[in-house]
Amino acid sequence: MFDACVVGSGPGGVFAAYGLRGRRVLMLDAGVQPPAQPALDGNLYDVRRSGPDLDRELIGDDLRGLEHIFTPPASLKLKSPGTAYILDGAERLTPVVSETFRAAISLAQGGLANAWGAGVYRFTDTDLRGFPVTAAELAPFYDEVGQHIGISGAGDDDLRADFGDEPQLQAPVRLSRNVARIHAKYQARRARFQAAGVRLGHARLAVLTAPHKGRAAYAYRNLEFFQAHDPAIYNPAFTLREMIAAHEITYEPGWIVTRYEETESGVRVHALALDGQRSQVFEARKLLLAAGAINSARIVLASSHDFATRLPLSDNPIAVFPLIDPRAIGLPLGTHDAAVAQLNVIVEEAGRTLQGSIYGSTGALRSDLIANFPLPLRSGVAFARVCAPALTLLMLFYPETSRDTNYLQLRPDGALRAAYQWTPDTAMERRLCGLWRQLGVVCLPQLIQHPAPGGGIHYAGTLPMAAWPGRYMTYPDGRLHGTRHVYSCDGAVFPALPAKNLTYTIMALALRTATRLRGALR
Amino acid sequence: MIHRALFPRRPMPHGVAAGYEAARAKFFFDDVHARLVAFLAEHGLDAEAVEYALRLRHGPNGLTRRFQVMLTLCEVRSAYDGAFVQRERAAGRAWAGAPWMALRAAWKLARGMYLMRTHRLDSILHV
Repeated sequence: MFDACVVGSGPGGVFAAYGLRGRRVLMLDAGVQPPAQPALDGNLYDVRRSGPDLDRELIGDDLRGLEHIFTPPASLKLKSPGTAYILDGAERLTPVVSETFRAAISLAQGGLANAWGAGVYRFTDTDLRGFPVTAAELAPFYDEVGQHIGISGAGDDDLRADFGDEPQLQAPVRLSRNVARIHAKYQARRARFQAAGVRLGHARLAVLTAPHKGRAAYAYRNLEFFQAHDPAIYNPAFTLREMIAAHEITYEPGWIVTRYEETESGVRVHALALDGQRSQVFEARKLLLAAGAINSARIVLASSHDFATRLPLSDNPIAVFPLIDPRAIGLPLGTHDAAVAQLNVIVEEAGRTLQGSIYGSTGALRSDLIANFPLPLRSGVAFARVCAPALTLLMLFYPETSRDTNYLQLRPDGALRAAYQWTPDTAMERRLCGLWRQLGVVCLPQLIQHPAPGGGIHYAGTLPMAAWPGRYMTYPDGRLHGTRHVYSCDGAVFPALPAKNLTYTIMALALRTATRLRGALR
Repeated sequence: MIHRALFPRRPMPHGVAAGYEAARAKFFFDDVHARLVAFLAEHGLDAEAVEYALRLRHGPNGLTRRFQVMLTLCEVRSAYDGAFVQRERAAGRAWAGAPWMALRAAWKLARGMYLMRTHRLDSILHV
């Protein structure tokens, strides 16, 4: 019998296992791997200009890179032949049925963090309102995670109080021409913006700008949309491979955990092989669920044979603001700009805090955008070419709380039914457009896009933690109410969802849960 | 026809033609817009204008998706790099081209609506 069984290899699962090193740890994982395909070497635009045609690398022999035209993905990062594997098998093995919520479920090794934005922000006590945990309690776990993954950003700008202090912070990612202009304009108008509740600063990212623990620095290659596993962008699969190589855990890929049952001495974990043909039972003293907020909820409901309860579900709704700098129209595209977030924005509005990331326009194919312009398509090609150098995108995340309209429910056939309602605050968005114009950019409210619910891919809150939890809730140490040996180590435990990317906090909470358990498992 | 509408002065490379055929077989060999495409090709009608009129009226459609497939197949090829990526400074030309772009959009919309009406293209689509 293992001391602990960790389910899933995303950020929560990996840091749960990391905290349990030295004990007999089994990780059960679907573990889908990237496809064997030709790797792009060099900068996307350099290769495309002078190198061979890239139809195999960007579209694929099986035309995978065209499927998004017919079935839009949750993110453009999930549509190329080198990244689409991140969602492989999920629709068949862990289906979510909904007319109002588009779930992106990953069975890949490393989970959805294979395509994450890499934003790492400590939750402050304000963010942790509703959590039975304080920022001070989490601080040592953030420190350990941050030191391990490597973080870049500015420690002394206007977002320091919002993001917290990192003991070791690498220099921030280089700003592109347009983003640097926005930053300079903000600096010149800081007081006015701050009076309006808006702060802006360098992005805080798990992206290396200097080598760290054998991983190379970010090379501005613009391949994020086409290849996973850039060594500069932290991926939980990196840590997992280190632990496997060091024989610190037993890794069993190829399994979907379907349910568990508690015994006197521990837990029996039922798993189904990815081919659906075999099943197996694994035994451990403790079970740590880290299959993601949605799949962990599925396992818990299936273990109770509960097809009636509706579990809460949260995701950060998004508004995408196109910001156009008229002075940059027709200028050469910055082909060596960063495709990751370059700046972060905090907006305090009516007692809530929104957070955004500002991106350049490199990386994604223009073909993915051209049909969105109100132009004939040939004109759209020319428009995209001359306007792309002038375009930056602000992706603004709304905070979310548990609401009765947003839930998951298990069906007898094993599928989860999801329902979600959300309405954007268009009045606030219009007001923000006015503020962004003071940064020297054109921002039209009519052009703001709102991806369908589920598009935030920050799923949380299905098994929320509380000081005095009820059924399908977790204690502050992560233990699931009504169980003795089952813990939740992913976004499921969030009782509220601030607008900040939740991944860093998932890692810190998982490490905290595992560290406490490690002592008990002697 | 679709490649000619997007890049009228370029011959379609064999690889693009092969990719489009493969996509047609995989994704839209029998959808309702196949009849529309066949009709447009047979009568030599302006596919870009019809797509634009349809898209503005009903949103992206099967014809739009065919154009998107063609655009993607072209964009990944080095020969089309200049069509998609601004490499040189051309701000003056870009601004000077804006009124032309607006006029062209108005012309294509009018032409597309005219073609829709005179050839009863809605009836082909059962829109």
